[in-house]
Amino acid sequence: MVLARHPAKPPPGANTCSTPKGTKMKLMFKMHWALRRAILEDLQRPHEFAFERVGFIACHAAEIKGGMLILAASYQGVADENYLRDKSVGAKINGAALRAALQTSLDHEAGMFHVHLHEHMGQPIPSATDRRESRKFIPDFFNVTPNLPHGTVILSEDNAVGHCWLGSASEPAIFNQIIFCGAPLQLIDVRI
Amino acid sequence: MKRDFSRQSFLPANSEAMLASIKVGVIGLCGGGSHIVQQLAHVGVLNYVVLDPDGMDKSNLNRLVGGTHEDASTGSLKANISQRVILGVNPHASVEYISGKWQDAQLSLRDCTVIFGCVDSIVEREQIERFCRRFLVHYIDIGMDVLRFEDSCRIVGQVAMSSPGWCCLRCMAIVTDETLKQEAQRYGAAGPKPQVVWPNGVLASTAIGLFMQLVCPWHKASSGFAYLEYNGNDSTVRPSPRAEYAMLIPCQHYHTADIGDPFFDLTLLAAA
Repeated sequence: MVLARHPAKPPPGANTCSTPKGTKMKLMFKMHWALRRAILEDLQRPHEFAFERVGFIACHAAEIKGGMLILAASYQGVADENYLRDKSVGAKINGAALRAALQTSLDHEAGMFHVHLHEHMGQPIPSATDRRESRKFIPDFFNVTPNLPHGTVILSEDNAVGHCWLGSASEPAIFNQIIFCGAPLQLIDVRI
Repeated sequence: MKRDFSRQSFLPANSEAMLASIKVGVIGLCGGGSHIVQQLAHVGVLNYVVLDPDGMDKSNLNRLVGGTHEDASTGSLKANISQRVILGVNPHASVEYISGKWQDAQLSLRDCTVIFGCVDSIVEREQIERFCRRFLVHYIDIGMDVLRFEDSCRIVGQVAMSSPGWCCLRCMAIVTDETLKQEAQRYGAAGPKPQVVWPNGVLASTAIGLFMQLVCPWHKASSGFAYLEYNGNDSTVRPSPRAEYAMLIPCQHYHTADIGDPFFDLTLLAAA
């Protein structure tokens, strides 16, 4: 799995989500500030050779009227030894890192959201590499926990964006709203 | 007509957008909840779910803000009255009004950012808080009582904010096994509890202040926790001494990983 070092513009019309029957769904993501802080602290640690760090957020979910609520429960960073040397990308991790995340998904019955950081202020924009690479491994999580959503989250220093898969064959859809609960509360209406 | 928020321009620049985006739930729409709803509408909140199973009667006219003599005579639903009050201030607001138990409307409440609980019973407070913790919702609780002594009465009340990761109502000793037991023993025997408009107004305004500081902070001291006590005889609102002790020990009653719907099944949702 590789992650781009520079974001690019997403394709138009990406901010949609619908069930296989075509029903439009609202996707809301909630995370506590304390968890966000812990994730940022881990992702901002320098690595011996990787340009950036990545991790996985274990999530639970619930139905809401007209959509789905995804709730971040805990964070699992990628161990130092599970990064691979590749100067063409920000971070590349090995199969052991992915297997650890799959195991967490299975053990805790959790949806897993790959997370990394774009170190700037404002709305992060997934790069073409981010989009391409996540399609390669996110569907694997549906083999262990098909009843939960999986996806990706990109944090910036003060903002976030995320994509959610409803099934291994589905197109990822962007979170419509991201809420960091805590004080002060932050609500992001995603407009990509 | 576009609203003019120039008189609350001391709030952060994104306040108007924030208040327009968040969804607020109000459970209980009589003495406390009717004040809450009215003030939320005035500050600019646009998305609501308001819930109360009851209709208005003549005994509510002493405190239900927005309720009219005609509402009391005809038994208008309190949820309808709240909707009318909100739309009277913000005609474009989205108001889901539910005349029923909040427990039967959980899908509508899960995506709220903040829920106000304006209910009478301790057990219901705890149920709402449990619900809020599970779906990472901030909970603001208000309540009042009139304590009778031999030759006098004392009006008391509290405003408590319970947020995921912070102290809960049990940490604050608002909910205890003993208070739940006492309430169960009193059930059906006490008759209507005294409720009057002015303490409800104080408590609701204090709760709205906590809410505004949470979502549109105008000063730096921001917290997800508050426990304020109202003394209606002295006309004072003070931080509860219990709050100080509650803050010393991390909450043992709720765990941050116990969230979401344990029975959620994406395959069923996606097939819908």
